[in-house]
Amino acid sequence: MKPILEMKHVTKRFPGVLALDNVSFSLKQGEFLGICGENGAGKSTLMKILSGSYPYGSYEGELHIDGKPVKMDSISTAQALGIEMAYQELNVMLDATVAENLMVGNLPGGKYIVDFKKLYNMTREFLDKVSVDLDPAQILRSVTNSGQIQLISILRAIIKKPRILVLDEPTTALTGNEVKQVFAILEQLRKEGVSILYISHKLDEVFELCDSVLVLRDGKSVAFHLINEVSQNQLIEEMVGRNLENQYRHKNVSTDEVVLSVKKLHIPNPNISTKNIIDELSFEVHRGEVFGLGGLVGAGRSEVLGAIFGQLTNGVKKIIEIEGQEIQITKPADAVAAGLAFLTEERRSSGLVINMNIRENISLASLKKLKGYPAINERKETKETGRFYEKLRIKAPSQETRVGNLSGGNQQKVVLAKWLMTECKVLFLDEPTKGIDVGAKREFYDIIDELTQKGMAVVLVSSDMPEFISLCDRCIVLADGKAQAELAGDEITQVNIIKEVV
Amino acid sequence: MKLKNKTMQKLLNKEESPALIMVLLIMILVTAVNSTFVRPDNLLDILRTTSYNLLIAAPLTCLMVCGEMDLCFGSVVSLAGITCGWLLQMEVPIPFAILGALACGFAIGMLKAVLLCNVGLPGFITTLGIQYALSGLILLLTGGQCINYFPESFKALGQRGPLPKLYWTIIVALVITIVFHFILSKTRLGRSFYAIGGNRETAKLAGINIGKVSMISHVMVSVCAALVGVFKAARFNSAQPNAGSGTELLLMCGVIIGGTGIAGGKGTVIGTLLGCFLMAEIDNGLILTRVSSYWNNLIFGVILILALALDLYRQKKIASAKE
Ligand SMILES: Nc1ncnc2c1ncn2[C@@H]1O[C@H](COP(=O)(O)OP(=O)(O)OP(=O)(O)O)[C@@H](O)[C@H]1O
Ligand SMILES: [Mg+2]
Repeated sequence: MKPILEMKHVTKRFPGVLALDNVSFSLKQGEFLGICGENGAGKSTLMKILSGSYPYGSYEGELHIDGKPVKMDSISTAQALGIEMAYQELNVMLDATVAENLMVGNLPGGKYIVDFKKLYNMTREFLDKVSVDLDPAQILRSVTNSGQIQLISILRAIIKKPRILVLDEPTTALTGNEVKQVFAILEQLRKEGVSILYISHKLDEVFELCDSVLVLRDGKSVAFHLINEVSQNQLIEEMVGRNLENQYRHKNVSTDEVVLSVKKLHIPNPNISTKNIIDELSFEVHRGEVFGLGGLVGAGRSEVLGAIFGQLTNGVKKIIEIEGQEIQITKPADAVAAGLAFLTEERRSSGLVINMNIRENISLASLKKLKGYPAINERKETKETGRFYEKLRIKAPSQETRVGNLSGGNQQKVVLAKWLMTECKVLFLDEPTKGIDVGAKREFYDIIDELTQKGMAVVLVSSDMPEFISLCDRCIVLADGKAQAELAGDEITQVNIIKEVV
Repeated sequence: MKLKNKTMQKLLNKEESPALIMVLLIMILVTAVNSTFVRPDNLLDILRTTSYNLLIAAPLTCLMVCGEMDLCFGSVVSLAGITCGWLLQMEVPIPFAILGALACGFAIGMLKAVLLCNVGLPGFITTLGIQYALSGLILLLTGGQCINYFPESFKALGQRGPLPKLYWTIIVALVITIVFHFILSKTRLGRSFYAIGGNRETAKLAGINIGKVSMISHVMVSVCAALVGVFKAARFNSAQPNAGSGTELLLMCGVIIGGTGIAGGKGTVIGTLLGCFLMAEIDNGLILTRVSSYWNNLIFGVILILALALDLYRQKKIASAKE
């Protein structure tokens, strides 16, 4: 069969970075091709060239569709050729409805007026077809659930009926069931002959979904395999260019000493006054412990962290004790002063300062430690941030690179590094390894071990089940605003957690 | 070739470069017509004009980097000058008269900061409101009259210096510029300005006390504006009710020409220094080339737009630069 897409000898440069170096591959009709590689390997860049985000002329190399060369000079050219992409960085319109978000670009109606009735009907029809339970007329801002927002950005690409669908890390905010739901939709597309390019750091997904896989490393394509001719370990080795020692095992070093105690936490639902997100929740976290908040997306896990930290304040009631002493936390600065730190789920909106460089971002929460008088001790700063920069293998020309120029996963590493550097008493982590490659994940786990041994406690929220299970010493499972169960050690298994939430 | 590319790249990466290019360009153009332009005494004249603007523009840069807005420092200049004048007329010793003026600036700065940062009123309209209120207050208090004739040693502040033509104003302005450059680029406070202007939520979660930091930026601007009020009174031997009026937008333009963004998160004091120098250079150049001063606003407006266009070009160039 003739390939429907060929990319030939593609080379793309950014100042000081060779992002893609002579990459070629081809894609057949109905083929699902996985694209794997470390953070900064060039996956997103390659796909943005295909989708017209980096227009013809800003790179070298050729693109062939159905055997014919094309000049992809804008996103609309690509769309006209049947190419749609769901981007790694979610960009939805929060103040528009679900339907408008899905149909943006081809809203029904006349030239100036939108036919909303038709819009809602069309959208409902589509949502029914893919069996997704969303209200077309709902404003996106009131969908508090980040998983659903990610789902919408995937559906937005699918609704246009593309021939080639590009998904750049589509499942970072999704949990088990939602992933299954997305996969069911994709399998349907496979039957319709749609080809998919699928980028993910979750190799299980790649093995489940894809027919073949392309491995990128440092901008070069280093391998191509049919999926049944390769093992996960071989793939990892090709991606990272070194051998990762076997299975990670977290050492439980938790003590009896309570460092954080949360009592009667109450978070009202801003949309429905009769229903609370969290009802009278109490728990304790011990020194050196990794404590997990389990549950489905939407169970209020992130809200619990935000409410304790003083980020979320509307109607929140709580009693917080740190090392046995009750403290008032009304704003994040209070929490930081009391020894807490909070890595949020959204790196763009609340994790990074895009215009600052890597060094300044990493040190932002530790500036007190770096106080020379009166200036910041820059030598010490560079040294301390450099430790994490190297340990987490942040890929950039230097620490002075603006974080806006980093790949998604490398941006996440910067946020991680920022919080790991604070050496706080209790570290809140909300989806800490979102979009991070396998190698860097391992380094991150090592750092967590190092810090818990020094006595730091961690409160973890993670949709990455294997990660959650291997890291947590103890966890509670949230559902319906309450802790349904407390699990410890070997009791923390996927089966036990799921059992509690359904 | 390689080296040239490297320096080009460096120049492109600096947000001050559009202002620098324009400062040099105008210097060359004016000198070609009238070579007195580059004589030291003329350059010192330009610096003198620059220094009045710079004294406010330097802290204003910090404030704008922090993403804040201030449209009332002009009336602080006038009010502080008047306050100082009164105190001198009551024969208060000069240092205390100056302190009184600065205290007046401090008080207005605090008021503004509380309204904006604690009460949470929007900066643009609120500071504009304060500006109207203060200029009205000044007219009520003075009846529109100037306060004239100050002691010799006070006048010396604005009219003399350690060397002829090297006025005290210039020296103070340069010192203050260096101080603010240091604050913005080297200290924790400076980092906080960039962080808040760059991403408020991130800064908040990092434990930065946003209210306090923005407050500091407001107070800094108002106190420096008060200092300018004192210097102006000394220079003209007269405290005038309209000494600072109309300078707000002008100075903001100077800061923006120097590469500071209106949305916050980016900018440098060095850029502002160049921006303010550029404005004074244009004034002076027009006189030396005997162009009618009616041209002044036209040229200034064109330069402002040109600076922004250059900056846009620079950013595009960075984004699409090959190797
Ligand atoms: N706008 C940009 N300016 C400069 N460098 C860039 C820019 N965008 C990407 N890069 C660089 O290009 C390289 C490839 O980035 P890309 O986003 O394609 O990586 P990726 O494989 O998608 O990684 P991730 O898994 O982290 O998403 C990285 O080294 C990155 O720093
Ligand atoms: Mg990417």
